[in-house]
Amino acid sequence: MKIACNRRALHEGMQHVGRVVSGRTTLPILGNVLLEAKGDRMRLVAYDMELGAESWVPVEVKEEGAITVPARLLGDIVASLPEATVEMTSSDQSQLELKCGSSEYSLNGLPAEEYPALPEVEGEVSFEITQKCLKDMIRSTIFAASRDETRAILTGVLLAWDGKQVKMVTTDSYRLALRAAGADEVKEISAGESWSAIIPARALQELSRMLEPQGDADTVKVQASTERIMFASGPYRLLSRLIEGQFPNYERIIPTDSEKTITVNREALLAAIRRAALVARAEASKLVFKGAGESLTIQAESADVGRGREELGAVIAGEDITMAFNAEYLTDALSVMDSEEVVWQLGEHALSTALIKGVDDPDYLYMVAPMQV
Amino acid sequence: MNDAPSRLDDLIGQARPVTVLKNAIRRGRVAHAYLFHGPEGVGKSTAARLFAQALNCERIEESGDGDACGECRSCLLAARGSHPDVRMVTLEPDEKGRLRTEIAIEQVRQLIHDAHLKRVLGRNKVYIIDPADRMNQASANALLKVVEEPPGQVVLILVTSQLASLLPTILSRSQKVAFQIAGTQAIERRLRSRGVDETTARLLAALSGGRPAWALRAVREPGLLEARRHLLDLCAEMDRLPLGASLRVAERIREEAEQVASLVPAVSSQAQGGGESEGGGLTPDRALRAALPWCLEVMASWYRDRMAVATGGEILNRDFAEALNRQTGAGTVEQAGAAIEWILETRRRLVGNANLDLALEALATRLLEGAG
Repeated sequence: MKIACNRRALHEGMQHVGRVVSGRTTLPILGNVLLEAKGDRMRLVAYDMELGAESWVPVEVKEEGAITVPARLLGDIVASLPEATVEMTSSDQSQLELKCGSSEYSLNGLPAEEYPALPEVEGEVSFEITQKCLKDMIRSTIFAASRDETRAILTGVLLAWDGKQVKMVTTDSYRLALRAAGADEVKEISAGESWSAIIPARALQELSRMLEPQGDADTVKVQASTERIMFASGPYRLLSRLIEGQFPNYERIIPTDSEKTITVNREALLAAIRRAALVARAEASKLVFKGAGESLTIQAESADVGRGREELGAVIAGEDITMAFNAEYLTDALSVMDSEEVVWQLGEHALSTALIKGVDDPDYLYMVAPMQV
Repeated sequence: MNDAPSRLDDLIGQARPVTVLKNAIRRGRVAHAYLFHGPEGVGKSTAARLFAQALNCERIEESGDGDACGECRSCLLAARGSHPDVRMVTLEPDEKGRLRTEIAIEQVRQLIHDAHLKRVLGRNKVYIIDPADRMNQASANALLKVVEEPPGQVVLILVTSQLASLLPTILSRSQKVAFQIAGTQAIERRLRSRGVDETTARLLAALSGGRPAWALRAVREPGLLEARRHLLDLCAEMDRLPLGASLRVAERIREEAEQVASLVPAVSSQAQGGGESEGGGLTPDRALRAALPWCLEVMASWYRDRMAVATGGEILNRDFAEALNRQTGAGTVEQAGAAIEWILETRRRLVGNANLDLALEALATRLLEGAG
């Protein structure tokens, strides 16, 4: 292999794949990045047997070929090289010579044939979605995914098509976040009458980072088979294995409309909860909410710390309300919502699941279980 | 890796467990958790790898007998250790590059996470936990959840030579597959089929203690045979050494054991079928302890041969026939018998964690006394 390329382009490509590189010692080659020069591009691949990342860097290919070298090392070297043309040559299967300005490095690598191939996504399902929408869907749901590996399904993020909308759903069984994509954000969908997949949360975190520097108007192509899913955007691709199993039937537990609602300014509510939470930290972040007439009060109390009280204007419909919630569960959702005002819909009993929606945002829904008052 | 068997049928002297495993595949009745147990070095780890390979072989239907073809893409990936659906959970190096002594809970968590993901290429997601007895309490408890409620298409293979060290709850939920010491004749035949000359093949088979992996390794490591020669030379010299030489004799045994430990970590540590880095992490004392039984076995073979010479039996160390014949005389049988007993006693003590230098010196003293 023999190529010449721009340092910055190589650096960007390495940054994209570098995060996926495995620390696993049982298969040392997974700590390497695969470099494959062909045509007028070089393909960079990192794969940890769960996630696979690929990026394509424009290069001048003087001789086609491939090699793998330690990803971290190459990434660090490229990151600190001066802005100049980088030349890379591998005369044999296991040695990469790198030249840039007056810097010269020779890195020990491993033959490309030994690198495990990224599995294909021979997908029945595919669609395109705008970057902005996809990023927003991830941002506004991922925090509610469970971190408890003993319930693997809940550690994932449900991506589903119900025949009308593409949705993303997460739940840790105490709360649930659901974001639907706007109709004009999704194109070219081919997913039958319905389809769903459970994606490891880590894959979507990496995807968010991958989409970060790019324009919001660009689209991401999504392709899925029963075993895996692939996201492609510009010169980048991310592949992930899916989680096995059946996601809980969340639609069944979404509360129906209720008479008891609180309508309140989102930012004012968020700020008040954040302050009150400071006092409630020692008490499992428990805040007591009381709503009557035109005001909502938030009370925090801790035997060790003291107490706090916040009051804000709100529209309370139905009877007077007294309920307790975990402050973090509320701030997580309120901070990712866009709507100026939110409607907080409460159930019949003090322990019925509550629903929070944005007044101007029909596509987002958050459910949270209350605490004992 | 030329020595590595590529199918279950290639395993030496393990016909029974191999039949059990092949039948399970053939009849489509594969258990969720297996426990391969038996002495060190008889092929449990290799069997686990080959069973995993068969569980994902693309031509398993064609073969019809439940063994892997050894040639399809899946088999080749598995043989290289890079099959995405076959995972090894084993002792990993720490930050300083030394092998950890326990399988960390983080590794088991990673396994659990992976077990809940969909498979990549194969039919089964196979996790080989080897040595399973090195899971600490927390790791074992974490694993128990998967053993109790395995996600779809998951097969766990626990490998151990210390059955008693495993949690009873794991034992009771796994299908046990027993591996035994292989017959020396089977090992000898295999060595011969690899072009090893008859004398060496017999010798290595006998010295292997029924562990094919060891014998095959010894073929590639001439240093082992050299260590054997040095030990036998030492035994032959014993008659001529003064009683006061015991320290020096103990030292020489130790030197040979160190040599062996550096060559064949697989003598008694967890053989992974020929990896390069293995054993590098054993503490020097443990590596030495692992190598000593073999050294002692070589020495015992010398005294057995002396008995054989005295009673007209067949000797093992034929290349030392001359020296053996020289040492025959009245009382040889009793002397040699006592020497063998001391050697075995020393071996027991070392297993029981006796001080290494003291045990070797005591042995040297007794051998010198016996010889004089």
